[in-house]
Amino acid sequence: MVRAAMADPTPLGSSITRDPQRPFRVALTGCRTFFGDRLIRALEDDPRCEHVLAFDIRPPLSGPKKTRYTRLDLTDPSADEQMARALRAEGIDILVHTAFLAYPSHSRSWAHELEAIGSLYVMNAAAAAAVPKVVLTSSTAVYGAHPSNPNFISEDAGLRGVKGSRWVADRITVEKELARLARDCPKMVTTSLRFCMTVGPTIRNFYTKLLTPQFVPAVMGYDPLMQFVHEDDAVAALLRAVHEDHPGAYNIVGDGTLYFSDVIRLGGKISLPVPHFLGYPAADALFNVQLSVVPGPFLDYFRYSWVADDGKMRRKMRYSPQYTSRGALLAFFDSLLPTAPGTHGAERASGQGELSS
Amino acid sequence: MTANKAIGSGDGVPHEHRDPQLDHLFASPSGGDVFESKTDILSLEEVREALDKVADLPPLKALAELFKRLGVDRLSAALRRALAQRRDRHIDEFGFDERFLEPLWPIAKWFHDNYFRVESRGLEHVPSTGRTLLVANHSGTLPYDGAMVVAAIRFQHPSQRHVRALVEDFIYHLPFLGMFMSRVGAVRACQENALRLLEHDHATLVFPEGVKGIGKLYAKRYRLQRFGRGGAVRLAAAARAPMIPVSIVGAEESMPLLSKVSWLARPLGLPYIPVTPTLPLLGPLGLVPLPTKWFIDFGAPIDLSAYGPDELLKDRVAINRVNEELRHAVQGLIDARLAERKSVFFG
Repeated sequence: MVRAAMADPTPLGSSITRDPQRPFRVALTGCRTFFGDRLIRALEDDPRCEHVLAFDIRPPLSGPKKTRYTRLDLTDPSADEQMARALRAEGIDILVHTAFLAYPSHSRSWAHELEAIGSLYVMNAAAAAAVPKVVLTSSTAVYGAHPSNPNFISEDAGLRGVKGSRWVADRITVEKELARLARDCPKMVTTSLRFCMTVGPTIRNFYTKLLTPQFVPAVMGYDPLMQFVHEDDAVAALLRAVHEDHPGAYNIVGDGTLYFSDVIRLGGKISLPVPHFLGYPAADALFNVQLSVVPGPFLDYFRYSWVADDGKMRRKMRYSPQYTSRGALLAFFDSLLPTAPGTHGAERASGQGELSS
Repeated sequence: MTANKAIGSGDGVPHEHRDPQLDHLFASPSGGDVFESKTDILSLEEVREALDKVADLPPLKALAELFKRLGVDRLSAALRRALAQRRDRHIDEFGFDERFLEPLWPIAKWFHDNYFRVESRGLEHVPSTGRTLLVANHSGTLPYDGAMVVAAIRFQHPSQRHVRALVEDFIYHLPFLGMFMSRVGAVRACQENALRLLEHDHATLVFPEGVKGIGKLYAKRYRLQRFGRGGAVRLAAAARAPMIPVSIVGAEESMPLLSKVSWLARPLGLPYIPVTPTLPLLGPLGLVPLPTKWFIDFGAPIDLSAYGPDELLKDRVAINRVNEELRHAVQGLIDARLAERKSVFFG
């Protein structure tokens, strides 16, 4: 109903400027991340993709035919120059920046160098090499979890993050850098895909790590609504942003919402409610001694709602995920169940790419 | 055995000639096979078979044998899944849970019928379907007025439609209260949420006075505060929803606000701490409102047809004019009721 009422004035595919048959060359940072790895697999089979230039500190897991690996450490102060040179030499059409950590790192200053400063180098290199298109994998966590959030946050909302979290602050910096790049290079197509909690059988990130144990901590008296996107849908959206030009930011989220208590229940887990005044210091203490993946400020994400609006993704990108939030979550939880002997090995082999660069 | 069958079935590769020992190498990492194999976790036949085998053993030994046959992790996984599905719950995208609200309706009905003895006029102005914006005066220290408007439509309107009330942000700062409010169908008050509700053709209840209205002192009862910044009018224009003025008479006296404490309220995340004749004197008992007689009246929809909808949205002065018109309509309904009312408790 809503979708009909708010029908987009732009006709179908008006944002696609690229000739759909033209071959293209892709460069990507963080080829060992989940997105990097899956993108290489997809582009290897894509007849229009001429070749893939993969940057990381470790070689890609796959990509025998078209992928060329260049070792690049984004924390290296000359990373931008090395990268610009490689981009120019290969005549890259599309740069996909996926070199982000899947967890808030315990090594905060290194994480800052990699994510915030490293991204700055990536954008500088893209500007220097005049790459026609830059695609960024971001997160809806940049909006922050606040009691004053609307139930469905749209892309033009402020990026408020959460107070005291370096990890989120760094991701917001990256978003701002991309916006600056778009201003400085008006001819460049810049796309930011803000994924909500991405779950599935193979991806391993902060959220899957939190939802894997039998006991899941919760903030007592708070039960925010949550949304999830399936890893396959996330990759499909990323591919769409590679194939078509969609300048701007897009929330990539599954349909529907679930209460956090229902999330825990669906997984057959047991919730451990902690009062918020104990939870924050306890989480910080456990994080600092490296016993937990949840830094204190992150408790906000389990206390207040930060559900993002899918309207722009559906109307402008014309993308609709295959899995609902609930379906994505069930697919993830099913992958945790003891399966037939042997499949675990297969799962693990592709479950790499937890850390990037 | 069954395990290998499950793996081979999903990856789309012919597997007749494959060595079963090597099957795991062919399993696609994210394909359907891992997902589908859930049916293979523990089949009913397997359980029956195992139960038959252990039937003659003494109970404890039988249990141990059962676990050994079926595997502890598979049994516990099956149990977890069964529990999860039994407790599965369906909510709307704003978190409204019909099954949570179901047992609360009788309580609301008792308050509506027997306690406040709510009487309504003008229910015919509320459409039975489609988007509707109900605009009401806010009073009574605690938001019982919202609950009673929802109850009045539910128990007196032929459509029995569920009205979605918009509530102030501070509710969501507080533990448990926010959980409760979203489960019963209330939504945080902001333009985005209200527009989405209307676009989903909900009847939506707003209190444009906000905290200023509900938290006004008893001495100022039934004097409407400023109607925000015209947000209600802008909503109605943007969603093209009929805007219906609603007056609530009786709530002011149910919990007369004598004074407000603000210095203590801020650290608790509250807009103020109310002082009423019973609060905080009687402790939690002071939260119970006095049994005043309530009147909830619905006026004729405000006519916006004089303006083109987009024209109104662009004209801020016109928005304010319509907003004032709306405020007068609500005030008019209140004044009419007050003139008729003889007693606060008996109507």
